[in-house]
Amino acid sequence: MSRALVGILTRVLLVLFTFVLIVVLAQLALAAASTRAAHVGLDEVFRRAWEGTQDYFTSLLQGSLGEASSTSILGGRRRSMGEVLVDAYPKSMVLVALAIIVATALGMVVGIAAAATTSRRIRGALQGITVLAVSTPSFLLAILLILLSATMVSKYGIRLWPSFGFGWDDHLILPVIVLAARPFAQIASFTYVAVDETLGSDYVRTARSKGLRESAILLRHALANAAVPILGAIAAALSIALSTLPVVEVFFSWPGLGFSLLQAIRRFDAATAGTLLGALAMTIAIVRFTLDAIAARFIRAATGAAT
Amino acid sequence: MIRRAITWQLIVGAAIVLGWLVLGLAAPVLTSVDPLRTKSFIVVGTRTIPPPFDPGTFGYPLGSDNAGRDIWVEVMYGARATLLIAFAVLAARLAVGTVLGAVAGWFAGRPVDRFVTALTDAFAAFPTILFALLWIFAFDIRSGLSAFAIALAITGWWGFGRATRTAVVALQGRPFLEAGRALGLSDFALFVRHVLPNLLPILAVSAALEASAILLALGELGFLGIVVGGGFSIPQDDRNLGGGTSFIFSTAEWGAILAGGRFAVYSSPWIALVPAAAFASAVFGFNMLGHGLRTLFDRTPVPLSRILTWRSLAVIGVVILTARLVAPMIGPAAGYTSMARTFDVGRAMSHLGYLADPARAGRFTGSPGYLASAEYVADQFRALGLQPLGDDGTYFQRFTQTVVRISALPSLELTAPNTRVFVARRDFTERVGGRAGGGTALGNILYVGGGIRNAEYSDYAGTHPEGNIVLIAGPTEGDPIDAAIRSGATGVIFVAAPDADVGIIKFSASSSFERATVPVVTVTEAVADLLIAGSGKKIAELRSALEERRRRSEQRPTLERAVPEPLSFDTTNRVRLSVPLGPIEQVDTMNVVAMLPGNDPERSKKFLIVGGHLDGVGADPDGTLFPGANDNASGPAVTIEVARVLAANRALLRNSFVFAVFAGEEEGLVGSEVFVQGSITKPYRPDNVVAFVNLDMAGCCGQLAASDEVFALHDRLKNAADRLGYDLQYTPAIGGSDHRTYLRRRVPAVMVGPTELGPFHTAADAAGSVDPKRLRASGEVVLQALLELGASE
Repeated sequence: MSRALVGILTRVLLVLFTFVLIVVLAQLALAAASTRAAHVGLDEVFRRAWEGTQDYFTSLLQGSLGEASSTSILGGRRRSMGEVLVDAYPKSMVLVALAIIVATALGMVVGIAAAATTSRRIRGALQGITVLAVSTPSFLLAILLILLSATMVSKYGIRLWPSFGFGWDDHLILPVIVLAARPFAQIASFTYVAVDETLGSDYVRTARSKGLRESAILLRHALANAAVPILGAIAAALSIALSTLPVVEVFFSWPGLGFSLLQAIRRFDAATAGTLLGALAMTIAIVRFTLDAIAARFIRAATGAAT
Repeated sequence: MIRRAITWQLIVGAAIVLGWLVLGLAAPVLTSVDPLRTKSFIVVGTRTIPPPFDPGTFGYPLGSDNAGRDIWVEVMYGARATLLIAFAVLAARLAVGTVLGAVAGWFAGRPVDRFVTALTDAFAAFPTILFALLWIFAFDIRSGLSAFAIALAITGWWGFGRATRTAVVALQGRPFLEAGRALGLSDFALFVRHVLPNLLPILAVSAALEASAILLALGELGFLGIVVGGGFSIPQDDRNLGGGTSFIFSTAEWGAILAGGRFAVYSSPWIALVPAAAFASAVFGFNMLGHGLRTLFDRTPVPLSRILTWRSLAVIGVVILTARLVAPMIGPAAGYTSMARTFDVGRAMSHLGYLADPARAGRFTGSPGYLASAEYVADQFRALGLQPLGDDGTYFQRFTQTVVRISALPSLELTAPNTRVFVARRDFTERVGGRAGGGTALGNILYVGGGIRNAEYSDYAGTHPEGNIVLIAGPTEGDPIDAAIRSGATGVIFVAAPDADVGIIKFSASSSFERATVPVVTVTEAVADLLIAGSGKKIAELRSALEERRRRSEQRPTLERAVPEPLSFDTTNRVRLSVPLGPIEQVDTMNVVAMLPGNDPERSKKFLIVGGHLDGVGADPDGTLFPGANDNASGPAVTIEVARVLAANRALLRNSFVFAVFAGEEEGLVGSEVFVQGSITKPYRPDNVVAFVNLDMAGCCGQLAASDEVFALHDRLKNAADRLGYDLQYTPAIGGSDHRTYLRRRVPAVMVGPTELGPFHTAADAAGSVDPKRLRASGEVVLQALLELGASE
């Protein structure tokens, strides 16, 4: 019991560590970037970073994200920080969530199929798709898809999907495809390796000899034991998707977190960038914690079954 | 055995990677086209076709970009630049990741390991591109490659870290390590001799996979418009009244081509598609190479670790390092240092002595002192045997410009009961041009902070500016004189901060005015405190309160503080302010221009221009002279001496050189504009100018510096300075000088100047304030850079 508690505490600490590290490093970089024109010393940079971090955590602890302003207060449009966040955050997170769901579903299907199939040709084709997907930069895929839709419209008069802009409808298609491509490849190849390994193991052979159906073996035995590496792959896929997010949002004019962050960083608007990055860090931390917890359950189940 | 170890992945991967490396390195041999050569149009019959040109047309196999550059050639040259950047990042990641990972693995299970592992996990969770972007800005994108290498290493070292830790942990407890320990080897020796060599295969595999990740990141950054150095920003407004800048890329680098093409995906998709495909193929190649190498090492573990020993790698490293260290000492660039050092500072000082002599009376454009200076420069050019480029075979390019002068010194006084008269040029100074005109104003002083007045906020709220005189001290926005005029003020007084770059000096007067003007002066803080005496407030405190407010608002503004109370107030102090202005006059003046033709039949059609402005701010009506020794007798003086050294080595020159000293810089870059406009029908038209080096304030104050609008040129000068043993900084962004005239036309140009302004535009800017050592450094660095640009292969 106490060991489980220690495990949870360690994970919570690690997650907090990640979150704090991201915030501190972001504030440091922002301080350096926003003072670079002013020829100030390192001490001033550190002072500003410290102030920014303090401000961020105090306002966070007070629960007030009513912090304001995207530009100077003395002119320009004023938006409260909460407004910016409420506006941009869901737009990005839905995109990322959809991409991860699509990537996980497709990736696992492709990975399991490649591991389970007896046909070398199918296996080769599936692996080829994975390698291509992992090597295709997001921007190339985005350009190709846009060209595809443009050609379809001009040559055949078929409108496949909107090429850019925001909307909770078919506008989602292109960004989600581009965002999901590399995570899909990541998950597919990890799933393939993990399932392939378990399928060759002794207990699967035992299960087979017991006369279990192949699908039952796959689902109950192989997949359960491959779950931990697959969860790791999902975590990695998440960070790939988040990394690609600004490219996708800028290219498809999707007014989300990456788009707003990029603008804030370009303007050296440390306040906005700090808050947005903080929100991003928080999300990453929470998702990783959840994935870790799920993985821990699987590990416990596996070891528990063994003893 | 070996045949089973070599897989198709390895062959394909190695072929692609080697292919790009060969294309990149051999690009100059494979094509004679200059990757940066632009083409503004192609004439077909009666039609002129602007770029971008379609693939397969007009000799462009893969089309051209928006500036008419050949994309295939750009991509070939780009392979070199992009792979170089990727390898630099790789080396940085490798260094950091391996060290941390090895430490963690060696001390597996101890607190050090736990800390490094936690760090690894945390960094792995960061969204790479966003963080890389942030750190690139933090390390200053201008510093080019190093900023990218450091930023991408910070965000990506953990890949190597993880791989190394795993490998080291796996090695722990292996028999050969136990044996080494039993032989009494220290931990360190054991690690270096037995662990590191065994890491090489896993590091080679990781390196190939990391290279593909780095290329992906570089592509994505390029797609977001973040490219390594090598572009330049052009001021969009020639009169320096604001308006911002636009950025032009000028390096053949895949990310940069992508950045240029990303907004033209519909109209000319090939611009982005070609570099994107190049990125994709290289990423694919490195991926394959990595997987292939893994299989190779898995199946043939023994012989490879013998070939790939730590020692042989160290030998390769030493060879590369020596090559890098020795390269600058041999090769043509190094040969030029002795030539650059023949810059004779004695001669330069004597030119400067003549130009800054009181007899020249401050060389106000078109004045007798200016004409005499121009004659002097022309005589020097003639004595050097330079070819005249002016009108009718002379060195003079004559033109007429408008000027405006004060007819008497401005005045500023507090009227009864606290009568006090202030002294011009010590307590205050006038501003002329735009909304700042001549005339007299009499009224009460009111303090209005930064003088901001817009839809949301007004510094004028609650005050009575009508018919009165406003005092402005604090962070401002927009045009505060315009705001004052709209509020009904009849005069404006600015307060110079005690630590401002520009204090009480003689400003140059612009002769173009807006319809509504008021007299405007700048006063010292001490005078300003007297002007608001009786209010119980101090300017310094008011200013710092406003600055703090601004700083807070930019850092972390809150809604409650969103629209603050202005700190403005009326006073009963009455002031009389007068700026007596003469009429707008036409004066005849001239640039002095000469040429040294190059010897290479092709290269001599491309020109390098060096020069600076000859004019100064002249004298005051009371007879006070502003000798303008550093600003800018120093520029022409160095130009003449640079011309002498180049003329003495004319046999070496491949490009043609133009030497130009300009009139009318102080009135708004008039002379250089006339020169550039006049050059449009000449061989040295802007299209053919390789670079313009503008010498402004080359002899004094702060440190030697160059402007950074064109990163590549700053780099050139910095390398030249390094070779000569000087340090080169960035000039602060204060005002403009003649190089802007060329920058606006997208011609690379750079200003060589100081980091501090010193006594410029004051009577103290006399020959005695010029430091000969500094003048020499400016001259040698410019010479070295020009020789490297215009004489070498």
